[in-house]
Amino acid sequence: MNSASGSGTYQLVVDGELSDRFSYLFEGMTFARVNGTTVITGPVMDQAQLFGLIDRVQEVGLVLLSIGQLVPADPTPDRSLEAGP
Amino acid sequence: MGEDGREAHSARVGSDDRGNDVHDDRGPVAAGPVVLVTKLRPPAVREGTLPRESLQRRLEDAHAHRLTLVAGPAGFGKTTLLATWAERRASRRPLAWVSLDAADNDPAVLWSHVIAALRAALPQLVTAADPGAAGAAPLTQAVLPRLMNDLSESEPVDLVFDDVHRVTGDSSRDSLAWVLDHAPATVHIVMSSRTEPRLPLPTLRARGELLELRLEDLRFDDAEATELLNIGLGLGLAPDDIHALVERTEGWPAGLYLAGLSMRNAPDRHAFVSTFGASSRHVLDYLVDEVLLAHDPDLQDLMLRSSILEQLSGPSCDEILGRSNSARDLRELARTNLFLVPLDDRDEWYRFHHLFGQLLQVELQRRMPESVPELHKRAASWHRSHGDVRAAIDHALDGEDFATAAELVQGCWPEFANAGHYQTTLGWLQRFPDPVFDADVRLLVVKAWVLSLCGQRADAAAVLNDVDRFSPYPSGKLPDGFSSIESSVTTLRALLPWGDIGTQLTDARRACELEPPESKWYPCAAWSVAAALYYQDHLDEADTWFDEAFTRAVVSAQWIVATSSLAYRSMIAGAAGRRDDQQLLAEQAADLAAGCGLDDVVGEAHSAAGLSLAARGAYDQALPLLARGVTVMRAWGQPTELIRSLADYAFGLAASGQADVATAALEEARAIADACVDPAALPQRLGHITDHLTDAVVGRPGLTDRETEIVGLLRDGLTEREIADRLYISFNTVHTHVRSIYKKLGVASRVDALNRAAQARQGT
Repeated sequence: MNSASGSGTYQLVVDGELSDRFSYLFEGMTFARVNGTTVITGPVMDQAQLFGLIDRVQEVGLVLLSIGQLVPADPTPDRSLEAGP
Repeated sequence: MGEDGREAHSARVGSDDRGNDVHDDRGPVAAGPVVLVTKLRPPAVREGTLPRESLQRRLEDAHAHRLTLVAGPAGFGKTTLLATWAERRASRRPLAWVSLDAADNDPAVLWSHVIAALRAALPQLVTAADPGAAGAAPLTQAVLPRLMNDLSESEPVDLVFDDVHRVTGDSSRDSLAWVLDHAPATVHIVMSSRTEPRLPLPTLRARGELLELRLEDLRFDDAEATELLNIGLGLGLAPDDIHALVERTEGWPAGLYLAGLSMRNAPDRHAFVSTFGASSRHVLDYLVDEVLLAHDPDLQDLMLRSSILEQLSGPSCDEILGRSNSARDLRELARTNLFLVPLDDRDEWYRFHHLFGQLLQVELQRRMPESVPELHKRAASWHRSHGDVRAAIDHALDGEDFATAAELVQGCWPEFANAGHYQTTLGWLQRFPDPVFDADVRLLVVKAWVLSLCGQRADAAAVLNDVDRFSPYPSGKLPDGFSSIESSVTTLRALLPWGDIGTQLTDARRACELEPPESKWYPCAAWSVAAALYYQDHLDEADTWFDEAFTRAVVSAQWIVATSSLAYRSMIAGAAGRRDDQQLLAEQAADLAAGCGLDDVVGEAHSAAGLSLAARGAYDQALPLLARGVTVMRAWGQPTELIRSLADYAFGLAASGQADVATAALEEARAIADACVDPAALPQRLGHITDHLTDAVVGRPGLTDRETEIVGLLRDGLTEREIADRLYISFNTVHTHVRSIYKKLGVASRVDALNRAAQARQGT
């Protein structure tokens, strides 16, 4: 899989600071309030879920400032890290 | 009006039989889809709503544009704006309104509502367009073109689609785009949406055919905010405070209103504005607490727990939430809070403004998360016993009560399928989690049925493979009335054989063994036996079975089977030369199809009618019907039935002298037959017609339409003078035509002419 897989960790930034209660609308994502914006970060399993999140943003009337993939999904664990100390 | 406040106009297909209700102590499972009248009315414009004069003036120009679009985020008053506009000009010009929701992703649902709205707006509108039982394709090929035609002959009308962003499914979106492209000049389309709809907007813009109101137009300015807060809510705020609020909310009407509601009981409003202005929290985040606190705890509880409901009424809230006096509380709440929207003018039904409802749900989840699944369960139960099976299923799925949801879907899918609402059912099936769905063979069977009925052969086959893995199947009667899973699967295979007649007959006979004659599914099994025999050319035996299928179908309200059986019997009579029976049966089939809204479903009714007319020489009338038979069968996708309809069409074309088109139809038919596993006697039939076609082409140059018509009348025994009277032409003209006919047919007498023409017609 590469970054074009459309899954992994994504980050959305919306205008205005939202408290954690709104994370109900963005299941599984964490909120961080930064300088008058809210950074919503979390795992996204596929594009369908991603567009669902974008739709949710729109439903609640939030202003979407940016959206991007932070970390692409990686299905093959790095075995070298499993070795001893 | 039913107790649930909705006038239920069931879709016109007569399939709402009660023969197989699942009775339990919660009452009978409800019948299928309804047209919700509440979607067809703009929301009432209430006191405290701003008219927004400058925007109203711009909307006056709507009639000069092909499309008017109000596009902006949630909470900018799009619906209110259009509702105000609608109210003001309703008396001047007819207006049809449709509030769209997720259900409209099923194009059959969408267009049922649009047509109902148009009928209400234009009482003189005469249209037979009925998406009631149309499959996926015929919508843009048959139903919508017919509707556009009928509209072009009626008065001008404004057609408003509110909340177009709710329609995300391809087929519904495509149908909207098609209508925008093909709507007659008498229809002006107006849309409100949170997203730009997938329409050719740049083109419309460039041509000056688009009127748009967008975010910058929709923001409130200080003057409008003053009107909203000081006049509407009576807050008496100073101009500086108004300005601060407009800045803070950036003119967002929902934000301003929420702030206003929060301030109603505030002791010091100026302080509220200052604190609010100084906070960096998002407007919604700040205000959701405030606005709830501004209501009594009891009302807060009502609002929070009812937020899961699409629509609210006193009785439904009392029952689902376990409280009392909800009717009084809702009335009071609606009076003081524009976010609770009345849906009728009787104070019976309401819904929350979508944004507000979302906020309430967020708050509900924060305060009482454990109560949510239970609320959904109770809502599902209430809707079920009040006849709204769709809402019951939605709530059951929301509450993750998959067992109840599965039972309901398994029980009601035939009614939804009969009305052509395939997407609705498929949507539900998708909402079951994979592990739950894949383990429930009954749900898999439903999916196989629906996919097969929409013509999705490959997908249906894949699901049937999954079903096979459960073999040997558990026994037991199914909620939809089938006596067993085996019976359901066998009947499905028999009904839709995808080009394998031999297997169809085996499956069909087995299906008849598995389903008792009184079962509502028996007609389908009997019909399948009949169809297989027909395609094997055992016409007498087929006729007996079609008769049996018809008799049983009428009792069980299986109107598609009934209509089809009549049509096939007509064609069998025609092949045996029994012209009177052929005509009578064809007419009965046509009447039944029209009466049940099945014109775009039972293609064989058109073929039968066409063949009957062709037998009388009325090719002008016959050919369009035969062509329509082909179009409908294409949508179903069943190869053998499509071949038959093409053969019938080719026959009619050949008899009327259109050899080229006939040849093309035959070629297509032959190609399909070649790809069929077992097309039985169809290749022979095609060969027959081809032979006669060749004879006809070699034998006589084509008769004109008029000459063909006259041959038909000669055969009916009319004299030339009687023909002249019948056709309103002179005797001399008729005589000239008759001489031309004799010459073309190479004969010298009437008897010979009729014999020669009859030979050419006998294609079956």
